[in-house]
Amino acid sequence: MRAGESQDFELNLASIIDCFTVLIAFMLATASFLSIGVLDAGMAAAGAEAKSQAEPPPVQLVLTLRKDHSVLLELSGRESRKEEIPALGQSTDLESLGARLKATQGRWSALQSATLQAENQVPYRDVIQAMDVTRKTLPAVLLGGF
Amino acid sequence: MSFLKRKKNRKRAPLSGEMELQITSMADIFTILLVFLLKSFSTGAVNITPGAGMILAQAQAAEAPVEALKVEVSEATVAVEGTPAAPLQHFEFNPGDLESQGNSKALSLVLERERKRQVLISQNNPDVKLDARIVIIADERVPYQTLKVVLASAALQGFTDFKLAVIQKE
Repeated sequence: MRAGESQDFELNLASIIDCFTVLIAFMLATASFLSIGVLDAGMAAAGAEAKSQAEPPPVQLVLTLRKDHSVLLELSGRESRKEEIPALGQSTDLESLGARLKATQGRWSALQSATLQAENQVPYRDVIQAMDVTRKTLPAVLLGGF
Repeated sequence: MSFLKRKKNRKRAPLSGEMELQITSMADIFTILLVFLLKSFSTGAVNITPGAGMILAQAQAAEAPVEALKVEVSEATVAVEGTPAAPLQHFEFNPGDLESQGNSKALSLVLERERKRQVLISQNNPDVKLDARIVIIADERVPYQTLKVVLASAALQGFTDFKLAVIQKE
């Protein structure tokens, strides 16, 4: 070490702070804190299930969302049954829907998919909510009615 | 000697015109903030940006977004990859635009063009396979009737694997 040179030095942080301030302001302005995901939905078409699976499931389940927020569950195949879940005020009774789906899946463990359809005026939000609840019990949800 | 007297007698250090801010800690905070923002910015290559005024539905069981053809359904238009394809009136298709199979004429034309482009690419590049996936970015107020038309138009062109874009609920 040369005489007179000190090892004690200070970084000039002012310019770094300037850069950081501009960068953070830019990122805060452009950042989106919403996390967007996707819900996987297939298309319910005649014969599609038979093609994709070697052995078709013993029962088929069709959920129909109605404009008055009630839901119709239709089971066909080895068990044929229709069940209606009445609306919960001005919304769909998602809790009951989840419970009924679990009960149905408990009886028919081979049941892994459901077809979801809705009346024309049912908003997309209700379809997504019903789909979200259904997917907790049945992994595959197919959109139908078209 | 009392405390006051002692204080009075103490000599004050000469005031200097130069002042130094202690910015090391500030730099630390900014670095942490910057790292956090960079991490939450958009890590994936997939970019789904809903248009202005659009309200996406919320769901818990959502998966990570995928890169596929994007169809956006808003109050006034259906756009394919950001380009308007069919006009809507209060979330509904013009009845004259609908065909017997339940699809929209205008939307089907645009989707057909996209499909042909994909077919052409897959023919020239064996590594690229035809993709049946389609990402639907729809406003939560869209009636199912409109959604059915969009889905039918997509299905007719071979896009049968629907990915519905939602906001992930915690």
